[in-house]
Order: sequence, then structure tokens, then C-alpha cells
Amino acid sequence: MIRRSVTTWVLAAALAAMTLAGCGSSNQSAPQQDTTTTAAASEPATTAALETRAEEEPSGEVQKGGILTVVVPSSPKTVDPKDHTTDYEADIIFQVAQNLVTYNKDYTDIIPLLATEWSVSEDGKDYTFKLRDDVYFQPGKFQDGRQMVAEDVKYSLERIYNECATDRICREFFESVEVVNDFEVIIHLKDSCGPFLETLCDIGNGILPKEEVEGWGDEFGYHLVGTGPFMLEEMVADEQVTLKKNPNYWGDEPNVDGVVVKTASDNSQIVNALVSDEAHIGMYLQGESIQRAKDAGLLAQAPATSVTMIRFNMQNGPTADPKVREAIIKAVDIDGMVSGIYQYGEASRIYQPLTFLSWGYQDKYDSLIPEYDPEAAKALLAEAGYPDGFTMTMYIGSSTNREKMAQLFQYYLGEVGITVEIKSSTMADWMSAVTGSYKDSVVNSYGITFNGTIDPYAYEEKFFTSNNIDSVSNAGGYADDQVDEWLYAAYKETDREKRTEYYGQVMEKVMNDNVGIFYACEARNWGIAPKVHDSVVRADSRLLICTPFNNIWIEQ
Amino acid sequence: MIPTLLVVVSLTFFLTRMLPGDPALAILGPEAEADEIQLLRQEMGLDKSLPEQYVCYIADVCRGNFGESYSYHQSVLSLIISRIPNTLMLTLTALIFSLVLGVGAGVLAATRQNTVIDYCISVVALLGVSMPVFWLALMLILQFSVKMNLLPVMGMGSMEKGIGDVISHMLLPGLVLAVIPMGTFARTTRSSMIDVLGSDSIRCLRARGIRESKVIWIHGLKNALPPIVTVFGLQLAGTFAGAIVTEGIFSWPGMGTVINTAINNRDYSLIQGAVLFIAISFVFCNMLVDIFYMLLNPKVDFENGGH
Repeated sequence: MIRRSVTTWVLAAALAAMTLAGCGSSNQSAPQQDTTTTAAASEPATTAALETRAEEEPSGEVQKGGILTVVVPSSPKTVDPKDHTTDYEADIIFQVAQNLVTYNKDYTDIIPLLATEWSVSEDGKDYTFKLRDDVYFQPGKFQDGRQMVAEDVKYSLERIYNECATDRICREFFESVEVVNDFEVIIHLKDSCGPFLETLCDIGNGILPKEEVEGWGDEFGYHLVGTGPFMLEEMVADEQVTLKKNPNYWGDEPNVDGVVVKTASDNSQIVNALVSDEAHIGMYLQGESIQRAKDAGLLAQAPATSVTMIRFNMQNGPTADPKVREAIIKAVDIDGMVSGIYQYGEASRIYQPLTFLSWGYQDKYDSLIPEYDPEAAKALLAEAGYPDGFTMTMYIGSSTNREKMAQLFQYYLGEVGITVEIKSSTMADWMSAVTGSYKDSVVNSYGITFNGTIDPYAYEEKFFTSNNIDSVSNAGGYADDQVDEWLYAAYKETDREKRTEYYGQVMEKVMNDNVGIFYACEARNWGIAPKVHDSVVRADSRLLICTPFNNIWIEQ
Repeated sequence: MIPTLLVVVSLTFFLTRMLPGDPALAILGPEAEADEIQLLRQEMGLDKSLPEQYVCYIADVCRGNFGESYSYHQSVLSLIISRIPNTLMLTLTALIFSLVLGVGAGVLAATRQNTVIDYCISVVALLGVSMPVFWLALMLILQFSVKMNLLPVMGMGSMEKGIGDVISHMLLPGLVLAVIPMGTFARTTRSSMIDVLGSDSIRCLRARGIRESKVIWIHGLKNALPPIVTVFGLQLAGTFAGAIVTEGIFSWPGMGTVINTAINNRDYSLIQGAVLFIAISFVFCNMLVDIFYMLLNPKVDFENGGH
């Protein structure tokens, strides 16, 4: 025990020194950063406690008016639900276009939006939705704000099915949409499909007016029209997106008159904009910016539905041996590693390849992780035929969190005689190197954060089905017939309890196979000005301004 | 000019292809599945062989078609055209600013050679040349925007909000971008002026009783100009490169931001288009400098093998 804590301290100090050296040479931080970094090092982060900002006591009633200014790190380029690729784009679409159903405030369940109710047939193949009859499209160039009807649902969903480059609608299972009357549709599936309802929450499945989509053609991505609380007024890439209040919105009137989304690629600039009162909300803060926002009393955090992990090459190289994998996991003090990486408390420790926010999460599998025990690790290595260790690679896409992870991983494995070579590159490069890497022994392990929803499908299916061994999600090449069978059964099942059971079986198997180290759930870090009220930071980091459960207002 | 550009086009084509990383993967992100990536690769023409892609590209460029930017969902040409004014506005303001101040300081230092003023100007100029631009930018932002709350942190002002908005957004990035050329101009002007002021022609002018200010600012400076013009040509290029960093920090929607995005997203056609555009503007600047030389000094004669 003593040895372990000393190690943690030494590591923390070393990391602090590295960070300080980094500050010195890059000079990117304010002078006060030096002291906070040191403080973080001498006081290992309590990873569980996330920051909730102290909202200024509102001085009375909800105030209407004002323009909400939001800063994001990368500019939205196209907001056609069919073509969008980034979260920044999805955040804009979310204000303008709406889905039949959406997630609730806590991101634990699905609530109606454009639909009022729905039912699923016995065989799980037909989803009947009753639609609201008071919804009108925003007026645009090609229609003057007509009512939204069932035909629009059919058009929008079939468009995503036919034309979208990525699968946003369970394409293998989707069949067609049947219009029953103006306010009722039935979605027919080829076979029952567990994650289907959640898929409908994907912003790609927003309901759009055909006239606008076809009228604008390729330009629809800059002239999005939907049924949402805000209308897209102007979109200039790298500059700003301007949204204004939709006067005919069917729901509660938005409290703010409009929204401006600006871009600051330099993360510290987001905090600067907040502090100097130029912006109200800064999204996706990282590293030192988190600490600066915290010091200024602006930080708001929420655990993300994501899994940050180290995966092993399951088919080639030393890690193909289950004993070696077990030894590696035993060699790493995961708690120490997590508090060393996330000095600003911007992550929580996790245990399984599944977000703890998922309804399918069962904590009984947490204990399947081999315990930290370097001596046992050495013994296992000797048993596996590596009494003197070996050399292996760790591939990461360069970012502060990933680099710290790789250095700590290298340190811990060095303690049991394994030499780790760190290969750090840009994300684009990393993805090319890792995809399909199970085929040879160049990539022995890699680190990545993977974002998903609250359906275990978005993790376990992606990580472990043999169908995905040529994708980044299962680049380690995990392939097991039994697991494939369970995953398929869980995919086809619509009953949550039964699905939880299948996914539990998969979890037990993959945990026992020691496929990787699933160590952290990185938090969503936002900075929010004190005069902004009724804001919600949700696990998926969606920009929630005017929804069935919140309506942001700004104190004037 | 044409051969130069052909070399540039070919070099960029192969250099971008040598960049590690798959554009389709970069666009779709780690969550994408293998067949989706394959589909996008086909759509982008990446499944063709390299020579095939090269021939197609050259043929397209000759027809004036620079392709589509996948990260911006826009044609490369219209994207570049829409960004050039923003970058030009920033770089030209910075250059003019630095030229006026730098040359002024240089002349001042030369006429007060080896005095306190000269030493101060030389030290400041040296500091300016060696200052890391992004550090200066962040320090200025902390001081003027965050602490004093005088100037905006980022973005480009809009004329709709009045000229004041445009100027206040321009001040910090313009100043940051001007620092290096200002130092260079001051140093060049100083040494060139010292040479000129010590020459016989200036001594003659002084002997004829011409006013000292006229001797220095008109006759002296005119003779000292050639090296300054050369440096101006170089700085024009340097400021353009500097704008990539400065624009990134201040979120200025110019060419620099486009190039950053293009490289990060492995947006081949956009990288190629942007590099080609910069190459064209360099060739153009060099031409301008040569013409300017000719005007300054009629002895420079291009037809007889230059000067």
C-alpha cells in the first residue's frame, strides 16, 4: 500500500513538472495557472465530484429578450441533418429541426416531441406514432409556414434512409413509412430492432419540409428549415451562425430573442470570451481552460456518455495471449492513472466498456477487472513465456489526456518489465494506423474515447461484434461467435429487461477475456456566465436552449 | 510563371497524399463503420490509383475547377475567394502599420546614431523580431480584453455595427501581426539610411544648403529604399504565413483558418487550392517588387539580364 501511494505521488509530481514545463515553453496560460497546476498535483483529483456552477440567484421573474451567445471550438459547416458530421453542427440542427421523439433532461429516457404517443406492435416490427396537430414549419423561401403532417415524416425518414452517408436509422432493419392519416404514421421494420426508438432521437432524423429541401438542393445545408424554436437566419463558416426566435413555435415561446454561435479554435479564448462578457456559454472546454473556468466560477460539468479506454490487439503480437493481457491490466494502478491524467477532476473512474448512465449498466460486473498487483503481473508474464518482459506499442491520437495516459501506462508497464513505445499522431493519422491493425503486430494497444448514447448497443455492439473488426470501434479485432450471437439477439429484442440480460452476458465474457482497460468517463465541461439561467449540461453535451424541460433566459 | 505553378501544383498534390491519415476517416470520425468509410472514399475518388487521381486533378485545374471541399461542403474556389478579402484586410493593415512605424523609427535611429534613442529603437526592434507571435497575442488579450475589457477577444467586426466595431476587432490581431515586420523594417531602414547618409551625394546636398528634413526624408530615404522594398516583398510573404497563426488565435475568418481546417481534416482539394493560391500570390508579389525596383532605379533593366 505504501509503495503504491508513493508511486502515485511521484507520478503526480512528475506530471505536474511536465505540465509546468509545457506552460513555460508554450506560454499559453495565464500566470495564475502555475499555482493551480501545482495544487492539483499535491491534491490528487477526486474524480467523482463534478463541478456544478453557482448560478446567480435570479433577482425576480423570468426575463425575456436578449441574444444568447455561445462559443464552440470548431465552426459548423453544414447543417443539413443528412450531411452533418460534428456535434457542433448537430447543436445548430437541434435548435431548428425536431424529431418525433427526444431524450429527457437527465438523458435516461425518451420523451415525445413532434409525436404525442407511440406504440410498438407485438412482433416489434411496426411503430405507430400519433403526431401533434399544432405544428407548423418555419416560413422559408419555398413554403410559407404550412402545417407539418405525416407525409413530412415519411419524406424525412426515407430521405435519411436513402441518401445519408452514415447509418442513422438502423438501415438493415428499416423498411418504409406508412401514412395512415395526416397525423398518424406507421414505421415498418423488416425485423424487430432494439435500438430503433433511440435511433429516432438522432438529430439526423429531424422532420423537414420537402419543398425547402428540394428547392434549395445542395444549399439546404445553409438554409435549414424545420419546426424548432429557432430559425436559421445566417450561417457563415468560421465566423458565426445566427438564429432567431421562431414566432410560430408550437411549444413554449423561447425566452431569448435569438442565438449567436461563434467559433474559437483556441480553447483559452473561449474562457476569455466568457470572462470579458462577450459570450454566455462556452462549450467543450479542455485542460487548463477547465481550471480557469472553475476559478472564475463559470464551470458546469456533467459526466459524458462515453468510454475512454485502452484496447489490446487480440489477434497478433504478445497481447494475443490472454495471460499477457491479464498481466498488463494487473500492472496498472487504474485509480492512480485516472487521477494522474485528469488533474482538473474532469473525469470519473469507470470499470466496464459501457457508460454508467445506461439503463443496461450492472455494477456487479465491476469486480471482474483483475486487481492491481505488479508482483502477480510479473508471475503471469513469466508463465506466458516473458520472464524478462517484451516491447510493445501504444498508439494514441495526440491530445493532452491521451498523452498523459500513455506516459502513465508506459511507467506502470515499465515496473513489470514491459517496454512501451508510444506512437502519437494526429487523429486522422491515428485512425488510419489503428483501423484493421489486428491483422499484424505493429499496433499492440491503443487509446481512444468513444461516444455513445444510453443504449448498451452503442458500446458493446460497436466494440465487440466481429462485424466491426475493420472499423475503429473494434480495431483490436475481438471476435467471438458466442458474443456475436448474444449481441444479435440483444439487437433484435425490444424488451429492455431481456436486452439487459443479453448485454450482461456479453459484458461478463469480454471482461473475463480482458480485452482492454476501460478507465474513464470524461466529463462534459462548459463555462456558463452567471446571468444565464435554466441552462442544462447533459451527458451528450447537446446545446439545450428551449426544450420541453428548459428554457434559457438571460438576466438583463 | 506557368512552370513554377505546375511544379507547385504537382508538389502539393503528392505532399498532401503523403500526409498520413485517411480523409474519409477524418471526416466520419472513429464511430463510423468500415462500409460507411468505403462509401465515402469512393465518393471522394480516393479509391482510384494515385496517377489516375493526379491526371484528373491537373485536368480539372486547367479547366479552372479546383474541386469541392469536403470539410466545408463548398467549392474550393468560392471558398478561397470569399476568404481572401478578410485576410488581405488584416495583412495589409498590419503591413502598412508596420511600414509607417518601422521606417519612421529606422530613420530616427539612423539620424540619431549611437544615442539613447538609437539604442532604444534597436532593442525594441530586436524584441519585435524575436517575439513569439501567439504568446504576444495571448498576453495582449489577457491585458486588453480580459482584464481591462476594452477590446473584443475574437472575431471580425461587421460594418453593420459601424466602423468602430471593425476597428476594435482589427486592433489586436493587426498589432500582433505587425510586430515582426515592424522590427524588420526598422532594422533595415536604419542600416540602409546610415549608409546613404554617409554618402557623398548627401554631403553635396547638405553643402548646397538644402533643408535637413528634406535631405533626410526625401533624398536620403529615396536612396535607402531598394533594400526596404526587397524586405517588404519578403515580409508580404511572411505576414501571410503569420496570419495563419494569428487568425487561428483571434478566430479571424480568413485563409489561415481555412488552411488550418483543411490540414486537420485532410481536405486534399482545399489544401491544394489554398497552396496554389498562395503560390500565385507569391509570384505576383515578386513581380510587383521587380516592377517597383525598375521605377525606383531606371538602371535596373530586365532585358539585359537584370541589375
